[in-house]
Amino acid sequence: MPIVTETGFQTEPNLSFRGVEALAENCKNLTLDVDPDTEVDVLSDAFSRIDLIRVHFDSFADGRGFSLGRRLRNAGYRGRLRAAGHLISDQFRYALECGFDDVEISDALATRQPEHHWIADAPARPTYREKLSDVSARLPEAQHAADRARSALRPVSLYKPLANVHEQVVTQVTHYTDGLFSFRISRPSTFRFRSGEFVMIGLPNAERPVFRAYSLAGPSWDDELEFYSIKVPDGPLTQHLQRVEVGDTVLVKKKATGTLVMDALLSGKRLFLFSTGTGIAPFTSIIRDPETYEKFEQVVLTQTCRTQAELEFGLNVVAETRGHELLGDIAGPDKLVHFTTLTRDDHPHTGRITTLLKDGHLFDAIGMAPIDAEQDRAMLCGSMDMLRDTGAICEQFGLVEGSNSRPGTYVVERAFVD
Amino acid sequence: MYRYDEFDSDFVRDRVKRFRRQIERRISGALTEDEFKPLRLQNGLYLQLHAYMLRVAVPYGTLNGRQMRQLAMIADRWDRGYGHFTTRQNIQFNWPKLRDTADILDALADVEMHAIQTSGNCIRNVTADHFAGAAADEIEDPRPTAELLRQWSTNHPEFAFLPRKFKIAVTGSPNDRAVTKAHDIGLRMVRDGDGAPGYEVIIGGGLGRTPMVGKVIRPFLAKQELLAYIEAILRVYNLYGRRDNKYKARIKILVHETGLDKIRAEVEQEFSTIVRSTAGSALPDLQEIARIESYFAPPAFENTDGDVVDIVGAGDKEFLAWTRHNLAEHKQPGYTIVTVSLKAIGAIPGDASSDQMRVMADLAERYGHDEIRISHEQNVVLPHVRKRDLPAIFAELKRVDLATANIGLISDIIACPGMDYCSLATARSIPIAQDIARHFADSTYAETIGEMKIKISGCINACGHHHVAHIGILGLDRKGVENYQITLGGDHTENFAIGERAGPGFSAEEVVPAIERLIQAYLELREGPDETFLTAYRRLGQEPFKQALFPNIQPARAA
Repeated sequence: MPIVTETGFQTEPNLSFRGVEALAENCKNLTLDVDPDTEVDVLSDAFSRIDLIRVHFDSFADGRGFSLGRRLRNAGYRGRLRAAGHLISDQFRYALECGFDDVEISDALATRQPEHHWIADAPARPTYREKLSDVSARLPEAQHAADRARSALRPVSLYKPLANVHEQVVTQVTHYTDGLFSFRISRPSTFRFRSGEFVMIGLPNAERPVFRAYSLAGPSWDDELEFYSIKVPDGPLTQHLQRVEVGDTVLVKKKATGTLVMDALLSGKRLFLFSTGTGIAPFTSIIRDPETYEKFEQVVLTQTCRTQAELEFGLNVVAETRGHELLGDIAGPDKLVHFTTLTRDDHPHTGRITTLLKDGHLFDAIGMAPIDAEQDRAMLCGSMDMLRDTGAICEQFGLVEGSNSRPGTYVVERAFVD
Repeated sequence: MYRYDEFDSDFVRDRVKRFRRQIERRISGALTEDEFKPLRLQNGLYLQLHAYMLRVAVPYGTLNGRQMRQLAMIADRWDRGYGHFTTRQNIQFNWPKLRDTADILDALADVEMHAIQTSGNCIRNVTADHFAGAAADEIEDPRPTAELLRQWSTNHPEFAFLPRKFKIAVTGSPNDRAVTKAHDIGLRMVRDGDGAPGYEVIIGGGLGRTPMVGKVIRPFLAKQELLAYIEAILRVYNLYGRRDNKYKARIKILVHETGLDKIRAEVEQEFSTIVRSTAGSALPDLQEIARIESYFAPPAFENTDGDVVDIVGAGDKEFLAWTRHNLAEHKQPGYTIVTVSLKAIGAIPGDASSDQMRVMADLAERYGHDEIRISHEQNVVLPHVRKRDLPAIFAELKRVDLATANIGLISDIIACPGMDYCSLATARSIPIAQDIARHFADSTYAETIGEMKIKISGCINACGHHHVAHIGILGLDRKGVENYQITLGGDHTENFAIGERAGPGFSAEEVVPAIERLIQAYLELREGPDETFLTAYRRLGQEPFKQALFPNIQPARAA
């Protein structure tokens, strides 16, 4: 009886399987046969004593076993899970996606549907479900997709190391307001990124951890990685992430990407960085990168928040940049202009950046000429609304959106909101 | 409308490749006919009476001009120059050859279309209000929800071998045009006391052999919890739905036999397990939802004004009749929703020729923000049209026999393909529809009768929705002779009702005279032209109509 695994057909020594009645005997290392109508409650108290559960499929058209597999995994079963009986090769990936490790088929079926039929059916790409729960599935890199598909197959209900993920240690956490915090983690020696890019991060708290796109808020030369985040009470990731402490583990996917990078902009004289809320994160990376000042004569960072306290992270980074032993000389107040505006609290400048751009207030306040498409470039990061409205204004100034493959005169981060 | 990204197009191409391999493996014998059948069905391919039939998905009934034109190309190249729009907002091609089907699927993929999960015991094409995004009475656009469900359910590993097919419909308007109470799951978009958006979740509705009205399992479900809750319902159904008898395998039977309260308890428990055990990864990414929603932003309407009458003045009578019947109120002033009738007198309901498809594609591109909808009543909708463009649109439609002014009238009949095509059918439906339409061809007579929904099914599976017709007709086989049973008083709207059977059936030739007697009785009994057939039926009950249907049978006398 061949056992179909992701790598092909395997044989194994004959195991003796027993029915659920064996649970009563208090033995360990059980190998059980169960029917698809088995209730999970019958097994759940004994999960730690079970090595292998074999779910029987009477007919390939009877999909109950798939649901039972998913239920066992959701209930916390971490041992081997096997589908046995009549399954066809076209169902192999379904079985894997439902939490099964392998499929046992008859010799006759193995002859009719040989190994390569089963292997060909193994998933080569992420599924819609993964796409809906994880933004990284939309990245085109084939390798990345393949990594993801493999990681999704891990048949454990709690985190086990994933191939495309680095596990890193939290080194510092700073809380600014009830809704905002930043943290730093160790940097893998092989991790490379361009200032302004984002990466997927998650926590090792589930079979399939939730990953979210986070801008790398520190410059590319930093020994550590820095992130700036909101706290959403029910946010699938941030409700847990906001509780991280020094010494905790954070997962970082291996590949950083993004469009808020120098490569996506044509050369120019002034660089405008427009941010709202935590959208400042990619720009705190860019303003700390010496390359930025080699490419542009002046950098204007605008930061729009609701309250004074929400500005703190940005103000700290700018102050730190100006006081830095090397950066201080090239990022003085004449080179790096930081313009802050609030929409709720009182402040020297108030109102949305779109309004201040339209009525010219911004340019008056910083004492500069309005945007000139010939020599000025812009980057945008903020909410969907902000991106849409500010993008429209950039277009009115004659700027043209660029990308990594076709540099332009302004860029927007589309994979990143808030 | 929703635009494919690389993910979607790669997925569809990959699926076609897999299907080619499946056909090869069927031919080589690696797959038995039994094993191949569900794979074929889940790619939309049926084996019908005379040939294969390919059912193409039109997700929530939305198409653009380029897609409609490609359907016309497919009709010309691989079919007999026409296609058939169905009551589930799909299109069917009735004459493709098996060896051509993968090529047809590739041609569909070229325009971001497919036939995935249009058949088989899986989650089928999700349907939605055909006026979505346009109707004046809409609370919220149901299409982003339908698209989210389409993505989530596509190739779902756990729910591809359910006890039976599974249909989901979504409406975003209090006036239910999506028949949510006749679906396995119906979703009505509502707001809670604080104004937060969510859904009323209805389960266990259905027509078919055992018609059932859907029941509310959850009065309010927060928007973000949708996928986890739907997953819970499907898992409970997949595990406990009956598999011993395919006529009792739909979720409506499970709900009916188990009881709503017990099913609700099961579903809620499963729901909380899902939310707990997956640490939130079962919930959709809000960014992804925002991305999907952004695709359904309204088109750039121009600020325009003026009513139809302003535009045409005293104009042509035929045009005015068309504007009376074939338009619906748009949310944007100066705009209207046009329903193009695929029910020309004597035509096959729901059929469109390739030329007609191309004209509709042109009109959508020229006048309708490139949007086309397919309605479950087997008509085509141009959802965003400026009123001042109506004369031009009418003239163009008339040229290809698409300007019949009969939406909602007696000749706007729904009919399944029946025994002319379908291997399940026990009687013909199309000729009956044609006979009725011809009999009531006189437009003055039809207008006098007013709103009337006649729906015809050629077998007990009820694809023609006869249960929810004002006058429903069910074709059966009585010892080798076609026999048509009539039901009265059904309603597919928010006042959902299943029609009541009105006595023994009629032969094919007796159907039209029977309908004529019903109509005469209604015209005599109604309180005035404002009282529709359905209202009169509700006021009077079945008895007077039964008398009209069976004049030779004495009515039951009150004791």
